[in-house]
Amino acid sequence: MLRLDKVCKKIGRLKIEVSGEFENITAILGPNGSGKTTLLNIISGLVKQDSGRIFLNDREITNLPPEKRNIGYVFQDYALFPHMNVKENLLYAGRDGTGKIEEISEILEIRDFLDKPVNMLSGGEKQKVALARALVNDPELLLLDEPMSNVDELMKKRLIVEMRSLLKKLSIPTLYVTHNKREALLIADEIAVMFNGRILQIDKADKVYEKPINRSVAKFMGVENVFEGIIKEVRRQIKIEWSEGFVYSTCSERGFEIGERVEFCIRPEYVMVIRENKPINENLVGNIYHGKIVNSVNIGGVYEIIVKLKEEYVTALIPDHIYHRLDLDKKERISIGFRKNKVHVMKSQDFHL
Amino acid sequence: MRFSKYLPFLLFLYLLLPSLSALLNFSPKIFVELNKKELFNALLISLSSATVTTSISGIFGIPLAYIIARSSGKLKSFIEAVIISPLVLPPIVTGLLLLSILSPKGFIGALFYNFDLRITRTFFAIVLAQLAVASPFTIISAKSAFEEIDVKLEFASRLLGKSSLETFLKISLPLAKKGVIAGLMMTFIRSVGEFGATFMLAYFPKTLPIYLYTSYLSGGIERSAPIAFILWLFSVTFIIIIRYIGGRIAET
Repeated sequence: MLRLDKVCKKIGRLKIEVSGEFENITAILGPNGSGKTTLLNIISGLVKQDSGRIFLNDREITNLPPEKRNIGYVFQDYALFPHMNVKENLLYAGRDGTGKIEEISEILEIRDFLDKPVNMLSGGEKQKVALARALVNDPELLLLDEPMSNVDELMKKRLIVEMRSLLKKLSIPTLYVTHNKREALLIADEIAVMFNGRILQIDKADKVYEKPINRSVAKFMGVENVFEGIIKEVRRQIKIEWSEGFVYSTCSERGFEIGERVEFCIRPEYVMVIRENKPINENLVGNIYHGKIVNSVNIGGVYEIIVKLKEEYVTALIPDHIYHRLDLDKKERISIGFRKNKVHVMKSQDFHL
Repeated sequence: MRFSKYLPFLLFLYLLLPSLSALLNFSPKIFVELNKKELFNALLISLSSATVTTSISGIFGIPLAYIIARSSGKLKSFIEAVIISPLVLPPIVTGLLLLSILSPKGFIGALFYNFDLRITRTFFAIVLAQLAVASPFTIISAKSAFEEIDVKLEFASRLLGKSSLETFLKISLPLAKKGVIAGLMMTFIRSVGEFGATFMLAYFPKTLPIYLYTSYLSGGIERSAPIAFILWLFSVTFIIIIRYIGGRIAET
């Protein structure tokens, strides 16, 4: 387990400040320039922190040189030694004769090109070699910096799934840096969302997706429907007043007070189209609004429609068979509903990123 | 208009002229000159001093080049300026400035003279003169070779458990091989040809260029041309080797 205790580093205008415990596979997800790679460099000892302490399995490594930390690192461009072939790259890292190189080469399916020079490899092959090289020393922690960025798009998903099962099998704690939320969801047990040098939220992958802690995380996780409101009632369900009337939520945590200014969000796939002449689902009662469709695009099996209510714009994802059954392409005015158990209430964020 | 395209080659032709002259001056007399003990001694001294100079340049200059390449800031540009300065300064000026310190009357020379040791006019002085003028070639060439290496490769090596020394020997040095070798060869050939600083610091024992100079004073072109031919042959051979090695290492 990796433990960071108030690790700080200032680089230009960016101030990195991170605390936390990391085990399993954690994706560090954030936009470019949020300090993700620098965080990896601090953990591995390539960049010196200004303050704070780092522990790896209860051993303090804060001031150890990189070679004494026992950390595996896969760089974004893989950093394979160009004057050695694949096998020499692996031998450089590991002690020959322990069988580890054989074992890892077998699992990662790189045995066929062990004798190739590294500049003859494809992006995906390089990535596998870099991963193998990082693993042959049995590191206590694995750091991966955007490992899919030089891999062919069609190969990515397969490689991520394979990588995940390998890391699970070796049960090695991993930090996987990426700016791609799909990659993060595919690889990780936990997702740490990083903005401006800080981890805003660290949670189980699906929880970050369903219950973002604030507007920044919500937007980065692809929740476009984030609105402001004021708490009116806190009982079995939370009642919020917003520019379109009222909205009810049954899924949010406690800790909100009446009169408090909050933000709430709903994922586009939980925005429902209400059909006329049909009884309204109890889960939607009170959360129904009227507006007109201002845009609709087929994004592959699913229509993304944008509905303008009185003031706010709401994005909804409608599977195309439903889209066509409801004749939405011929309609302009529609009614939509927010599922109460999917309206997620968040503390108001003072700063906007 | 075609003519104007070829006009710049006038300069090229002029640069070719010394080599042409060297070939024209070639005559069997060279072998007569080569038999002279004086010339043979001068050749020996030039080659041995250049070898020592190149070794010292390598032992100190390569690590120095690496340290400079991996540092930054104002101190770095100051150090770089100092290293480049001998290349801009006329060698005879470098020689004179060193002489005023290293001669028995200079403050370092006097220290040695107290122990009955003199620096000037020794083999050691030749090496000092050559170091002052020729070692920067090794440092500069090696430095730019180190700077071209992706630092991440060194990081990767450290993270695989290798010390900074092992990383230097197994990753940085092999990857900078081409620039380092070219620099050492430049230092060597520049040392063989060094005249100005050597003239001031060590007129004796005579190196090949000094011997060429004295032969010219006593016997004119006729006596000195064969020596010039030998020096020319050395330089040309080295340039060919440097270019060949450069090309071949770049391919692998």
